[in-house]
Amino acid sequence: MSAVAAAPPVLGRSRLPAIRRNATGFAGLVLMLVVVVVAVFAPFIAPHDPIAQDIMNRLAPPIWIGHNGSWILGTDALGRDLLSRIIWGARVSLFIGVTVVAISATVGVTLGLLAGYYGRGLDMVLMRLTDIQLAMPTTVLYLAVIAVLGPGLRNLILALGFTGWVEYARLVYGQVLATKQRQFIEAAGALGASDRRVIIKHVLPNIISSIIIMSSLQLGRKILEAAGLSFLGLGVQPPTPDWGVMVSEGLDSLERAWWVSTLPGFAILTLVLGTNIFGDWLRDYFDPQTRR
Amino acid sequence: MFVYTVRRIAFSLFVVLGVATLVFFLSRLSGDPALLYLPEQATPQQIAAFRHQLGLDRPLIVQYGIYLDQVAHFNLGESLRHGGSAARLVFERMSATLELAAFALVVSLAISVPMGILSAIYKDSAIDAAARVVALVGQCTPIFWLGIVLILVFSVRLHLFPTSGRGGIAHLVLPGVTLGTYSAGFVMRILRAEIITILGQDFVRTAWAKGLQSPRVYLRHVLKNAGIPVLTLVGLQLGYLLSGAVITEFVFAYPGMGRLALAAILERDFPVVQVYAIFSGFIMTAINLVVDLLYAWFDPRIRLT
Repeated sequence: MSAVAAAPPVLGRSRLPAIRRNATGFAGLVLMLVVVVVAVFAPFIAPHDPIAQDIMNRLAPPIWIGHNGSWILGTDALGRDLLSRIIWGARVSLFIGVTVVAISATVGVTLGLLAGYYGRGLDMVLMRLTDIQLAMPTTVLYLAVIAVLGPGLRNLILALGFTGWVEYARLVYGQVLATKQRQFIEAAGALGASDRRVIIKHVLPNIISSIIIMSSLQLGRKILEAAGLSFLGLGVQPPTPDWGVMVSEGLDSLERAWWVSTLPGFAILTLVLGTNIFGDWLRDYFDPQTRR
Repeated sequence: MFVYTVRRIAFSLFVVLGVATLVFFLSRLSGDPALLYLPEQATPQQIAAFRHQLGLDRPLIVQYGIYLDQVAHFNLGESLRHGGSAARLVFERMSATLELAAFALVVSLAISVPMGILSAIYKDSAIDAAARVVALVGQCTPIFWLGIVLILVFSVRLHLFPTSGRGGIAHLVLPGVTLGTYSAGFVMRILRAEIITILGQDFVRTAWAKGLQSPRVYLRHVLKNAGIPVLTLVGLQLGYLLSGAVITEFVFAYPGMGRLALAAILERDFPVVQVYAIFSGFIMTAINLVVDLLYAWFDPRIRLT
């Protein structure tokens, strides 16, 4: 039964500790968890109020450059503590990333399942829709949506969420078509299971691992795109401590105080690296062909 | 080849129509599109007159017909901010953006192709590990942040390149590297995977067994086959580059169409954003069409599917 042994493992409790045996994948998980812990415990970790201004101590340098204050990473142009803002910013980034992925995945998976399972022209319409959307550069699409809805956190999430469904729909559609051919689906139908039951109990569990991999890889990308739009002034609005907003706030004092713009960028890089490394590991793990 | 070409062109026309339709329905999302096309201080009389002129008081399907007619004639309204044709405004900035994107593509390929080849040939070596780390970090780095770091190092500290604006090659270096790095990691990873697959195939083993020298095997047998997927990637990259160009143009105050569109959003100048979105979709569709046709020309297997 080598065919069965080679099948991708199904996500289960006993399988997860496997990540401990892969140093790179584990590093990605740790990076991600660090940011999550920081976000959850932000009120207890942050040394200062992230939006409290202290005009007397504007643009104070980080501690290793030397000053007498209590600002480890220095302060910005309004005298706000950078470290505290970066810590609180973790919440904003994670919130946006997770919400966007949840919206995209829900819409995309639902449409992909329906189109793949029923076909009947629905699949044709859906795939042509995805063709059209994929013909637009993503940022251009976001700009068009935000031009209509207006800038802001809510509209940022809507713009990213309702354009991200395409990849899920394509993935799920393809996988459902392949799964539908398999005998246990036919057997479930023959035993009198309703369409709803077949889709939820038999089709979905077989494609869930691909959806999880896609989500973990998309999380980093969406966080990056959201930070970019906030940097441009189209997403999260000041004074909310968002990493993208912080980088753009430092632009005016770039030559006098390089730390204001550059340090929040490391936070973005850390989180996105973590999610990408973890996503790559997940993909390799579920796909034995790429596993060494 | 003829049938394939006709089919592919028909599909591109369909996508172009779809892009225009998508933008049409987007502009209807806000409730009252008249407000998107008029200055904020417009009087109710002006709004009513404008709605009638645009046909906004007529059924949606009629509005759609009028809109398609306008798109076909590149008559897409006037800029609320600058006056004059919005299409001309965007068109004037297009060459700057395409110049930046082309330069970035050259940078991207100059980094990713040698890295991808070395990394695949010396798989699991230190070179491979280093190249993969560089590619991963390149893909995860926020593009706006990379631009700022490059400005800090090469403009503010070393005074090597200008920080902003458009001029000769010197003005293109930093934005080009910023934008190119963004796609280099992606191309490198695909190229590496592609070469590794080809190296494992029978015809390569035969080439080695015939006693061919390694340059000949790599150049004639491996790279020739790996080049075709990379060509398709170049088409795909253009979408990434046009996306990234918005941010790059903003950071380097580069006068391209992305920066124009961005200013238009903040100034509530919707006609300009609309033209920008439609043009971007058109450019990408056209490039993808050319790439697909070239692909089919080089690889006869594609035409038959």
